[in-house]
Amino acid sequence: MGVPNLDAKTLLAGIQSYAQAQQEPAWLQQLRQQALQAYTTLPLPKFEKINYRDWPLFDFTVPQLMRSEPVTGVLAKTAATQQFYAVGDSTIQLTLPMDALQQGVILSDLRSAIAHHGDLVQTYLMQKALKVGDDKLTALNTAMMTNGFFLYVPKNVQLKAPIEILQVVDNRTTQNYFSHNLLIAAAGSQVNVIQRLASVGEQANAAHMLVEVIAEANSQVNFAGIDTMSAKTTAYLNRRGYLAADAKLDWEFAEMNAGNVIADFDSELKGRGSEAMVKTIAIANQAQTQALDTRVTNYGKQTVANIVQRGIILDEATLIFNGIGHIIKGAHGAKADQENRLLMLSSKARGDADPILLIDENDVEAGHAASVGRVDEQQMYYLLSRGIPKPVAERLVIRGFLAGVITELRSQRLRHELNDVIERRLTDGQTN
Amino acid sequence: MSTLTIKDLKVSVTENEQERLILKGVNLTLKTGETHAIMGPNGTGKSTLSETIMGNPAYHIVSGQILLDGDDLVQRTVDERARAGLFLAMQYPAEIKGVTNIEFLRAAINARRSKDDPIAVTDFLARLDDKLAVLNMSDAMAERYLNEGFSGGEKKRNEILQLLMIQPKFAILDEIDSGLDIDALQVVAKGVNSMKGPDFGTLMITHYQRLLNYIVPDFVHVMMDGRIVKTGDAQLAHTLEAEGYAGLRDELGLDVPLTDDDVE
Ligand SMILES: Nc1ncnc2c1ncn2[C@@H]1O[C@H](COP(=O)(O)OP(=O)(O)OP(=O)(O)O)[C@@H](O)[C@H]1O
Ligand SMILES: [Mg+2]
Repeated sequence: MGVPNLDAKTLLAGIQSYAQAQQEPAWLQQLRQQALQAYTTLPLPKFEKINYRDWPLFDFTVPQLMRSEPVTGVLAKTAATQQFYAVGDSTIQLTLPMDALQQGVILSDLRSAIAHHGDLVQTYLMQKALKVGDDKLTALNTAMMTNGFFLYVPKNVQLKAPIEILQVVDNRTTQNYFSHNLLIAAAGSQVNVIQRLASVGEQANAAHMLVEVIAEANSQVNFAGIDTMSAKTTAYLNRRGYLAADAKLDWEFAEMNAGNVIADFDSELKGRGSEAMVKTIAIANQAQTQALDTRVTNYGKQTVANIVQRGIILDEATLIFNGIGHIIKGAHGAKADQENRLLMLSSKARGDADPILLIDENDVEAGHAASVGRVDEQQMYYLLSRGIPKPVAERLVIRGFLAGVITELRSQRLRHELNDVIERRLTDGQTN
Repeated sequence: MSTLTIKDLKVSVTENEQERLILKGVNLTLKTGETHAIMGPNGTGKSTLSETIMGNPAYHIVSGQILLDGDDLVQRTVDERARAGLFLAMQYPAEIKGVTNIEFLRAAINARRSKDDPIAVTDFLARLDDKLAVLNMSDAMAERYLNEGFSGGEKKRNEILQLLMIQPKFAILDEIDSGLDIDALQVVAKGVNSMKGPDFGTLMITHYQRLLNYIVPDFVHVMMDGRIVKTGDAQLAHTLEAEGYAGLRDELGLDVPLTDDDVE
């Protein structure tokens, strides 16, 4: 890893004085200290086929609360419709439909959740989905976190309209971004969440973003993560799901960032009969590297894991899909299936789609498919022969390739939005 | 009026890392308003000629010119040639999963219009409905992925649908009749004939005289061993159908092996 800016002592002192200034409860101060301890002792987590040691992920200062102004332009338009909208550490907008409020749904930022719903936060934060000691980067986030969203859906409450969240990394100045987010779906509840992670500004920053999703028994969580951070943002993303009995967690990810990203999207199928579905699309272009580890672990009996990922690589970019299916001993009748496909549009592109299956039980079903291909020359020639210019032809082929996942998305609005995001991402690449 | 002129065209392909000369000097002039047919034995270079005119990178021009109204297309990219007015209905069209026929056709039409003036959706759909009707094709067909899972005959029909939608100056139809049942052949011929007019020229490649009953050519050319060895009118196709290529070869004193040599 790059030279850390801070020695352990300075960091500890900085974290303690931040926690005290925030009047954080003792349990949280203790958690931060444990986390810092884990950060300093644990090795960097391994992402197969990728070396991120020299990425500027560790250029941070001691935690302090920054004030960020709202954004302008296209993002501001999106922001206007969000239930939760934050820039940097500043929460700018918070709204919930009346019926959700009346049913006891809580949507707030993490800081006020710590102040007002301390018990809930204490029960779940780094206790079920992620844990201190899992790895160095989640530990670092826990020691350093300054805000995030907190969403609690009470028992049997079923929210129809999605909760939309926009979080903007503030690159207008050099600053930390340690965002820690918590979603708790209590037993029998249902919720749709769309989390959009974007950036604003021209300074280079590291973005550390964790989401913990706890899906209690019989709950159904649909979680879309649409990440569109700029080339100036080097990111570590971790979205982790914990599923109790018969819970269902449906992840939909779009990794449309322009900067270097490592991402860990894992689900723990703890409860019997729980099911996780992961659908991912990603585009890497120019000199960018994006590496996605997507793991689903079957612990419970009759659990079902499904991963479908499609990625496009242009220019000199690198895109890695490590799909990990792990069936633990005792998970009788479990199913784990995955499909990872990459399409390369340039001879300098680099891609890997590795399915890793670890199976410790017998009466299970596991399958995988993976491919790394190039655009077929005959296909390209056919499109060109109808007068379609090469860049447009490439976009058609790319859209076609990603359609395998896009058409499977639950919401039509999301399908449209993603098609637009893809189009923008590809045209940006061409003009630069 | 437009003219497509092929001048002394020599073309090679790479076979086992060696260049093999396929076209050995082809000369041909097509004018809009005319219908031409090329016939000739398998492996003679008919598809090579059509693919080379379109610009398929697998075919290497050794020498010669391809002139559209005096403008040499040899240095032009495939998409530029298409926008200049050429269309090739391919013997083996590619399948592209994920791209619908409709999207593809829209992109092809918009490629010929200025960027800020794409075709209106209603105009596009009206034109599409019209052409689908000519070809007895269903709407469902237009919504399917491009050629994916299409039967041989459906692919051919889809090539003609594109021809009708794009309205090029010159269409080269490479074995558009192969694999078609009798009804489909008539439908496809109806489609091509609907294009006929002073601003449209056709070059048909076929093995069978039957197609020429439906799309009547002004000129029939015979290609053998990489050259056009004889040109005549529609009657030439009847003669060939009756006599095969051997008679013509011997009459012209050519040294070309033919399939039926073994049988003799
Ligand atoms: N892309 C290619 N690579 C290698 N050889 C090729 C290629 N295309 C054509 N050839 C060879 O060139 C010769 C002419 O082929 P072509 O397809 O032009 O024949 P054709 O006259 O169209 O035959 P058919 O009537 O069977 O369609 C053949 O020997 C063929 O094997
Ligand atoms: Mg041929």
